[in-house]
Amino acid sequence: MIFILFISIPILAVFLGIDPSQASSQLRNPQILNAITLGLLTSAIATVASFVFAVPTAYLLATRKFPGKAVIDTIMDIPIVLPPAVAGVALLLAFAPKGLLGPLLNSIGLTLPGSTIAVVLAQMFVASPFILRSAKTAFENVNPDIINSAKILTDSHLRVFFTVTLPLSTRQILSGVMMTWARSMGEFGATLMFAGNLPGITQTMPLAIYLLLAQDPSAALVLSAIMIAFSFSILIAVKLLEQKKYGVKHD
Amino acid sequence: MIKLESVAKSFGEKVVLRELTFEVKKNEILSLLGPNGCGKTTTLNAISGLSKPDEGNIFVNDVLVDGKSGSKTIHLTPSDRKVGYVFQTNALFPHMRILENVAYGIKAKHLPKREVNTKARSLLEFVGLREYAEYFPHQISGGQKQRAALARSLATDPEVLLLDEPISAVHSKLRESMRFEFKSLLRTLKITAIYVTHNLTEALVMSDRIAVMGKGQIEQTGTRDDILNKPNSKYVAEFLGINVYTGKAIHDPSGRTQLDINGVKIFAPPLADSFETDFLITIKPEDVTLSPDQHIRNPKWSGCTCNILMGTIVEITLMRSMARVTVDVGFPIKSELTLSSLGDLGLAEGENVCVQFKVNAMNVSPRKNPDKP
Repeated sequence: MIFILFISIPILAVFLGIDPSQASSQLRNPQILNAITLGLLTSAIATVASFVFAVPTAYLLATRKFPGKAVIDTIMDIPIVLPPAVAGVALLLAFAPKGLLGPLLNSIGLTLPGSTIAVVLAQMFVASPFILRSAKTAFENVNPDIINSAKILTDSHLRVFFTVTLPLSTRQILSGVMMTWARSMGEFGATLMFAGNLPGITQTMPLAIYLLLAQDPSAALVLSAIMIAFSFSILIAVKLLEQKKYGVKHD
Repeated sequence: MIKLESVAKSFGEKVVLRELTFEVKKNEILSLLGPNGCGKTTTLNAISGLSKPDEGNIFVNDVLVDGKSGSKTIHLTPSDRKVGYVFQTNALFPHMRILENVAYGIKAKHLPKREVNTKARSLLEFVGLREYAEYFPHQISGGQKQRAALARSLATDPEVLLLDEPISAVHSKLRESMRFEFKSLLRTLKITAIYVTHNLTEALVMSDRIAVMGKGQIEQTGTRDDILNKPNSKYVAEFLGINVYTGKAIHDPSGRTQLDINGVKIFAPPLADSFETDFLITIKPEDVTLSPDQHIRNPKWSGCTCNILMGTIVEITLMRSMARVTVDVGFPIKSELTLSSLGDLGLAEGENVCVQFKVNAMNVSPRKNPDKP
C-alpha cells in the first residue's frame, strides 16, 4: 500500500500543483508549444527510423544463426542499461566534430551536436533497443510449424514474411513501437549531452521542463502533466495490445 | 513414390538420422511408427525440404529433391517438391479465416481470384467443412482444425502427403472417429502418403504398410501381419508389446525341437538354422492363453503341439476392453485376454496360473545382430 502511494502521490502532486487559471495561458506559451512540437516530431522520426532498422535486424537475430550472434545481441542491448548521460558522452565521442566519425561528417558538411538531427540520434540510440527486443521476441514466438506450413505452400519468402510472420508478430512489435516512442519522448540525459538545450532546435519536452522549473515553475508543471498524460495513454495502448495475442506458441 | 537412400542428419553432436533407407510406393500409405525422439519428424522435414540432410538422396516421384547428382548438390525448396504437409500441432494461420487458410497455397499459383475461391471451397467440401469457411481457427474444434489443415495441404495439388501425428493433439474422445475419417479421406485421395505416429493402433488403421523406426533408422518394414507376426528384432517386438526372448536350441533325442529360454525348456517349431546360434523368439500376447490348471485345454488346439507352463501372476493391467496379464514362468510372459475372460477365470496378482501357447504361434528366427540391444 505504501509502495502504491509512493508511486501515485508524486504523479498526483503534479496535477494538484497546476494552477487552473494559468494552465490555459501556459498552453499558448511559445516555449511550451515549441517543446511539444519538437518533442513529438523528433520522437516520431526516431521511432519510425528505429522501426525501419530494428525490425529487419530483429528478424535476422531471431531466425538466422551466424557467428558472433550472441555478441551482437548483447551489444544491441547495452543502451537499455547505459545511463543516458554516458550514452550522450558516447555519442559525442563518436559523432562530434572531433569524435571518431567527426572528420567523415565534416567532409559532407554535417555538424551534429546542437542540431535537431542530434536529438533524433540520441533518442534512437537510447530507445531503439526496446523495439528490437520486442520484435525479436515476437518473431521467436511465432510457432515454427506455422511458418513451415507457409513455406511449403508458397515459394516466396517475402510473402511468408508479410502474410504470416509479420501479422502474427504485429501486436508485440506495436507494443515495442509504443515503448520506443515513450522512451524517445522522455529522453533527457543523452539529448542534453549530445544535442544541447536550444529552444526550438534541440529543446524537447523534458529539457524544457528542466529549464522552466527554475524560470517558470507553472509552465514546467503544465508540461509535466502533458507528458504524464501522454505516457499514461501509451501504457494503456500497450496493455490493450498485449491482452490478445494469437499465433504464438502454446501447450 | 517417395524414396530415401542412406539419409543422414545430425544436429550438432546429436545424430538424428543414420543411413535411413526406405521407399513408399505410388498411392501407398506408409506409417512411420516409432517412439518419440526416434527421428520421425526429422524424416518428414528432410523429405519436405524444411531441413537439409547431411548425406543421402531423397526422391519424390523419381525426381531427386535432395542429394548428389554427379558433382552437383541438389536441394529443392519445400514449395518445389510437390509435397503436402500436415503438422502435429495446430499450424493453421490463426489470423486468417479457414477459407483463406486453404486458399493460401492456391494463391501462390497466381490464379484468378474466382478460381482460387472455387478450389478452396471444393477442398473444404471434401473435408466436410463447407459451412466453416468464414470461421477463424480458434472458433472450430481440434478435429475440424486438423481437417482444415489437411485441406490446406492439398491446395497445391501435392503428389505426396506427409502427415505428422495429425490426430495426436485431438481430444482422446474424438481420436478414434478421426482415425477412420482421415483414413477414408486418404483412401479417396489415392495419394502417396507417409503417416507418422507413435501409436500402433493408429498405424494399423491408417496404413498399407508400416515402417518401424528406432533411433534414426528403419528397423523393419512390412504389412501389419509381417510386423506383428514376425518382428525381426527385440526392439521392434518390444515396441509393439510382443513377448520377445533370446534362447538357444537344445538337441532333443526325440527329434522334437526344443528351445531354452532363461533355463526353461519349451517346444518350438522346426528350426532350419544351426544349433550354434542364438534365436529370437516372439509370441503375441493374444496367442497366450491362461487357465486355472493344466488339464483345461483349448478344444480347438487338439492335435497341435502346445507349450504348457505353470507360473505366478506378476501384474494385471486393465485396458478398455482387454486385460494384459504378466505371468512369471521362469521368464515373464504377457497374455492378453478380454475383460470378461479375466472375470470368468477369477485371476488375481500373486496367484498361480497355467500358461499355454501353440508352438506354431511362436516366431523363431536366428538372432541377426547379437551385439544390438
